[in-house]
Amino acid sequence: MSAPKNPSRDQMLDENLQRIARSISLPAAPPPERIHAWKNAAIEPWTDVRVPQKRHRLFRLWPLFTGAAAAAGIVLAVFVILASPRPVSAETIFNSLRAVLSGPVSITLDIGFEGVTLSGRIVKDVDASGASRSYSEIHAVLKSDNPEWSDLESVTVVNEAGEQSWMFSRGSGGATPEERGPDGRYHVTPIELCYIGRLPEFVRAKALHLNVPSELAFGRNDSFVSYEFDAIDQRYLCSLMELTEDIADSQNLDDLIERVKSAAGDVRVEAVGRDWRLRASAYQPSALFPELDLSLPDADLASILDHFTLEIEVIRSVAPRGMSIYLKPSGDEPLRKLHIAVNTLDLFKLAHDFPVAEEFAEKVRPLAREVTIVPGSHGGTAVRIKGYDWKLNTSQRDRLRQIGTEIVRGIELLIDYDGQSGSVRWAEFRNLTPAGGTIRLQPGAIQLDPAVLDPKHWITDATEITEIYE
Amino acid sequence: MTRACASPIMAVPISEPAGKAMTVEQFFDRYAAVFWRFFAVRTDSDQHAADDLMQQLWLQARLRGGAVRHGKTEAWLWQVARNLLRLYWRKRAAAPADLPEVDSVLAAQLARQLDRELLPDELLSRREVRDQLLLALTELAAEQQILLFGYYFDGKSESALAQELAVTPRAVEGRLYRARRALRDKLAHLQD
Repeated sequence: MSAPKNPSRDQMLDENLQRIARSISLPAAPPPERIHAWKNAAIEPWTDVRVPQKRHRLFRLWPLFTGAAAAAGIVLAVFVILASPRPVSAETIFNSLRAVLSGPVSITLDIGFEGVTLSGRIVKDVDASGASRSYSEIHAVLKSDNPEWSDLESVTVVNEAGEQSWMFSRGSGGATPEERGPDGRYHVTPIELCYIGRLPEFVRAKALHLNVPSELAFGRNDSFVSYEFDAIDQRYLCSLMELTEDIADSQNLDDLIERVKSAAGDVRVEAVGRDWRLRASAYQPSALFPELDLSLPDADLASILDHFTLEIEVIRSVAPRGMSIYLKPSGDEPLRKLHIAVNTLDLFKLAHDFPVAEEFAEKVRPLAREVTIVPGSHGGTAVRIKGYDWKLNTSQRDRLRQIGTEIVRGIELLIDYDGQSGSVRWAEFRNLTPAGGTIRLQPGAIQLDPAVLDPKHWITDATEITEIYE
Repeated sequence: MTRACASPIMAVPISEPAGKAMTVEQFFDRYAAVFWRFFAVRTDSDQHAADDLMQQLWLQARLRGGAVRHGKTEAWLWQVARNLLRLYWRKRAAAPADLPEVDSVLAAQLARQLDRELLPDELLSRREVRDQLLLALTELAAEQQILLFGYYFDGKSESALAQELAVTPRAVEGRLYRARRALRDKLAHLQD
């Protein structure tokens, strides 16, 4: 590409060069035979001739300086070599994470969803005898830009401390459809509940008091409202809860580590300065993201299929409905991997009618250029289909990209590993969706204000108190 | 447009398309006149000195040119030429007093004037001004020198240059434009 021209300036340059050419005489050029003479002349190459000159007396110290510099360089190199951490494997880092999780650990949550934000902390302390005590304080806030809701906020605090265990739950600022206030927004009388007891079931069962994480409920009796999470957020919440529960329960550490590893579609260990960082990205169905569910119009699916190699995998254990479709990029598309469970399409119906991979492949084969049966990534059997015969226009392709952006949800796990001590400094789950957010795990329990460990700190006159003792 | 009379400098005939990767020896053959001019300007047109330097340049190209990576040929050969020139003057007690010397301030001033106003004749008649222009011209890339010297000093047409460089006349027009700008930029940052 040529540079943009400035005609007036270039014209001036042109005219000046003409004047320069007229006023400057160039050295006479060598005739061609002289060029041949250069090549054929028998000459010796010049060497770098030292020019004898009197040097300052300090130059006598030069060997000393250079020797000292060389020695210092060697010492520095040895130090760097010894101090540099050796490369570590992902397995080593995961094992270090396991050690962190089995000891005292604090977790900070800041997770965004489309309509609600979860924040708070979970602290697990382990004493010398190995007995653990945990405290969690989770705040859920409905985002204030919701046109109908006031800033609905709830806090659930669970303090598991043997006989001093208790749970407090409060909703505030909520609304009910029947009680629209003068401001046009809904209002509700908040509830406050406190359960005090010895190892009550609620503590064992769920840390977050979201037994079925499909909704946040507020109010009581006839003044009751709820916020429902969408399907994807539900699954995310479910995974989050399972994660926090497992962290609190040392018995499940092995299972937790396996789930974390299986969640990571892409695991790599990167050098960060003198340390290492494990980066595990999960864009695929996994223990943390069991399945992405999407219903697409035929045209959109056709658009996707046109771009991607299609792989239909029968996974009964992971996908409850038994069928799912994997789409992998076939070119330079931005999506790494796409997993879509469709329920409105001919292909899905085909798969549904023919759950056995071989039969399904036979059914699809007339429509595709290439159909192969391969081992599935989750232990099942996959049918790989290439070149499905759908035609697309540009707008459909654009729509595909938009859909891809919308549905690909991911989580990334970063583990910061100290190469010197061989331990994990911190680990962080990052929500890669536009809502963002992190779950950060830090070794060692943080010191909590004694006041928050006392249920009286939370209880008000409106609190309903229930005592439960086994 | 009036042109200066054709100078006696002749480019080595070019048969290979421009831009194609060349060996150092091929590059030397193609741009020998350019390097010769570079030496001649910096040895006060001492033809014997320039001949010696060209012989050494050719020798270095033969001896060490094979190790030069593709695409680095021109830069390598220019660096060898500068080193040889440095070595040449180091072997002599002192350079002649009237050898062209870089005057960065004057060169920068010329660069500012070059595309804004017509350079007055009295300015161009000054020896130090002509030296800055020559030093800058002979430091340009080899192909840019072929174009500028061919077009302005030798009076060649764009089509003749296009044939010589195995490109289209339109390409010559664009490259001439860039060569003019390169000269102005070179003057602006001319260093010893």
